[in-house]
Amino acid sequence: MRRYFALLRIFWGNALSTELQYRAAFWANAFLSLFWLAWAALGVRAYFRFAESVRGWTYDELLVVMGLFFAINGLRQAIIQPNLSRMAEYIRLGTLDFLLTKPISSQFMVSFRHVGIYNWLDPILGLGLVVFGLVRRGQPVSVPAILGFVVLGLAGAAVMYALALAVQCLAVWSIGAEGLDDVIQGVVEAARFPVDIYRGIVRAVLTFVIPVALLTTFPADALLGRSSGELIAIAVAVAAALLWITSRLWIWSLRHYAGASA
Amino acid sequence: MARQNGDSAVVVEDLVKHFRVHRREAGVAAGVKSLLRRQYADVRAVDGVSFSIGRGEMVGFLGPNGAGKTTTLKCLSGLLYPTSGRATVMGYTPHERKTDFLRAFTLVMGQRNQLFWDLPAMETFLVNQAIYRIPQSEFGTTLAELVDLLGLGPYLDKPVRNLSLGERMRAELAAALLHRPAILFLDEPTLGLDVTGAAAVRSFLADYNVRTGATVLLTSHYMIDVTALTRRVIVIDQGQIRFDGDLQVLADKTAPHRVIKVTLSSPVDPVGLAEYGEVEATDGFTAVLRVPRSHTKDVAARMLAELPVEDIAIEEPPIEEVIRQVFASE
Amino acid sequence: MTFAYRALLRAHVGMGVAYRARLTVWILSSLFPLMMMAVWLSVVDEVGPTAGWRISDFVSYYAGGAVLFHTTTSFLTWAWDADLRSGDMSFKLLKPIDPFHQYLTQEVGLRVVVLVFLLPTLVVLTLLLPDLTYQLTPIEWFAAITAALTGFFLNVLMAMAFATIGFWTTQAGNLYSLWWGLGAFLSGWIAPLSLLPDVVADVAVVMPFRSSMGFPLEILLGRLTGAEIATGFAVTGIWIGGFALLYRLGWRMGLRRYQAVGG
Repeated sequence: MRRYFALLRIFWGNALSTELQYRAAFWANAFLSLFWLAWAALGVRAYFRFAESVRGWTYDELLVVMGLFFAINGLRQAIIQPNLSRMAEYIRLGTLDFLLTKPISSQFMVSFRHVGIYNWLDPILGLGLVVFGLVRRGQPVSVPAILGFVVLGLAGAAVMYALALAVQCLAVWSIGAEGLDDVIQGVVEAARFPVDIYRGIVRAVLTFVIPVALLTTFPADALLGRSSGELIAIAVAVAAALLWITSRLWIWSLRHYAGASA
Repeated sequence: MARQNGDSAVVVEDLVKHFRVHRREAGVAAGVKSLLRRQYADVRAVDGVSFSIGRGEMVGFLGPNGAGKTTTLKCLSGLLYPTSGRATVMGYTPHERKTDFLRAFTLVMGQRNQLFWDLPAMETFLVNQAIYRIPQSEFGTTLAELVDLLGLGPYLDKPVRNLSLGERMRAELAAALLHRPAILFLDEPTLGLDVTGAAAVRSFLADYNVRTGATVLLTSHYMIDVTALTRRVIVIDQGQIRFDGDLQVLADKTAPHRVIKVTLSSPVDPVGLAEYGEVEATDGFTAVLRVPRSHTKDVAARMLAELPVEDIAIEEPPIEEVIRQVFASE
Repeated sequence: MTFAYRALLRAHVGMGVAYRARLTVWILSSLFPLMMMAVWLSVVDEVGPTAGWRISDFVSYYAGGAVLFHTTTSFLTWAWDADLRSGDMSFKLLKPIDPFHQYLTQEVGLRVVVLVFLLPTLVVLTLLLPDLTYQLTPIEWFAAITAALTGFFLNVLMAMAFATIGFWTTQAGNLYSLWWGLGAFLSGWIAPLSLLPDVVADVAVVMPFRSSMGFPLEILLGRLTGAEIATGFAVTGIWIGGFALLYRLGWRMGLRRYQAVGG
């Protein structure tokens, strides 16, 4: 475990130094993070010209979800996107074979080798927006709510990672490795709004089949005091199950891969 | 020793090209510092170069990496304009990029190509035909000739990304020559090619120059490209010309020897090795010897017959040494 | 010149076909219009028809918007930037034909492939979903299609004008993103312009963003008078002229800089 943390420090330290050399890009990206946040927050106002709340969510509450979306999307762009987009390359160049021979979990290497530092500000700004929404809402936030939020937030991140891992397996099965990160981007984009705004079937799919609801809606619910102990427990169980399943899927896919390229 | 020719294809006078680059250092601390202030350095890629090349001549530019060869070619093809000095190609000023000028020459760069990556080479040829406005009949003849000379028959319909480096280079040459340019600029055309591939390119170029009378400027850091193709060689180093003249003169003057490297299955002492040539290095099992150019074959044959040789290689002296010799002889 | 266009287009359509897998994924994962639409439909559920917009209006608007987004948005700024960084720009410069034509045909070729995929899908959906409907006279159809084409051309010119900034900085793509970030509100992509505050709608009419999205969409939904359509084309025309000039300027100065510093 300590070894993995040390490796992470090296990977991310290198990424940071590289990033710092591109001066213009560094400042530009910081500015852009702020810009897109303001853009999203303002854009949503358009809907509230006509209604006080949409499917039980007021503007402030929607801001909380949006802030969480920014945070988790930032995480996606930092960790998932750089690695997932390289899967095609790994397969094509045979780098995957090379990684498999290292005495380190291949899942770890393929998932965390690269990191995109360029939008480092996103998670921070996202959480800032969450606080802003809560303050604007004006209601007190209890400690259990915050705890529930932290737990569900981590569960949400785990679910996103599990989804990415599942998609990663597709590459190994040669079901087209191009554009995988676009798929995950599309899925996470759906978490921009609470799943309640979708109707019927779509909402069901996004809660039970591809649990986008776990990414932002559930953690937001917890923070807003609308969650329950049971729900939190179920969500955590689901996240853990997904992680375990996709991890097994990865190992199984690798076995097929190793057999195929022998 | 520059040749003066009334009918010059290329005339270069005191060409100078400088670049300002920013210096980047490693490490997080230096990175943070660079966020606020940049440091610059001046690179003198071409530092006062003059020569002229006649129509139909084939000239080799020889020099180590970073010598200024590519920069000179870029100035001649209009991709760069000079910091000072003049360059004229077929009477045109390259950096003005007149359409007639762009139609009159071609630039081929080693390991890089203009071919559409996902499509068969033929598609690029058709586009070039349209861009250069080559009439159908002329296009047909030229294409057939090039396909024949370059052996491209089996490769025309395969996507370029599926071709090997050697095949790609030959397709690239075809694409570059469809419009029958009067002057060819070739920047390291054999870079990255294996022995057969490089030889194929060289023999094609020699043939092409004879058939069409096109002027050819070729840069390389491999001596063999130049020895095989050109009589006249211009040696360039650190942005300046060190030698301009007959290749034979250069070879005799600076590199009258070649290098033989042997690996032996049982040790031979240095005294025994010295019989064959000047011993540069040996550890008993391997040896590097300098042998006069004219005797190389004989010496190698003798060594193979008389010594327990496991492996033998005959090499040109490295280009850097040739250039050092040019310095020394001035 | 047309001779060259035919050959270039043929090649670029070929490349689009080769990329179709990537394109399909891109199209499918752009859920944005569906999300926007979902929110509006929820608003209508809460408060009934919103400022004269019914459910079928929103569905038709965003479906058309999705097609327009994928066929008129231009990513040339990034392609140009990639060519500059990789050195492939040199190859384009060595040809006796302005890179403008090479990039334009590149963009058109790609869009042709996208259209071939999207248009039948939209037609099938109109037959299946009663909410999805367009009722137009032939002249209005002609106006809508022309608006989309002119909007596309304007987007290409804008992308190229911004691309020339790449001769000086690596941030051309980000600047273009920023420009469109602001523009997304004014284009009718985020929300139909008539549902935004009047001030915003008024500014949007004279900006270039509406030309490829809100303008053709409003024609498609039959919400514009003849005079408004004429004004829309005039605005598009003026912006095309403006960005053509900006591109020319950026290109000339940019080329000089490229020749000075080696790209």
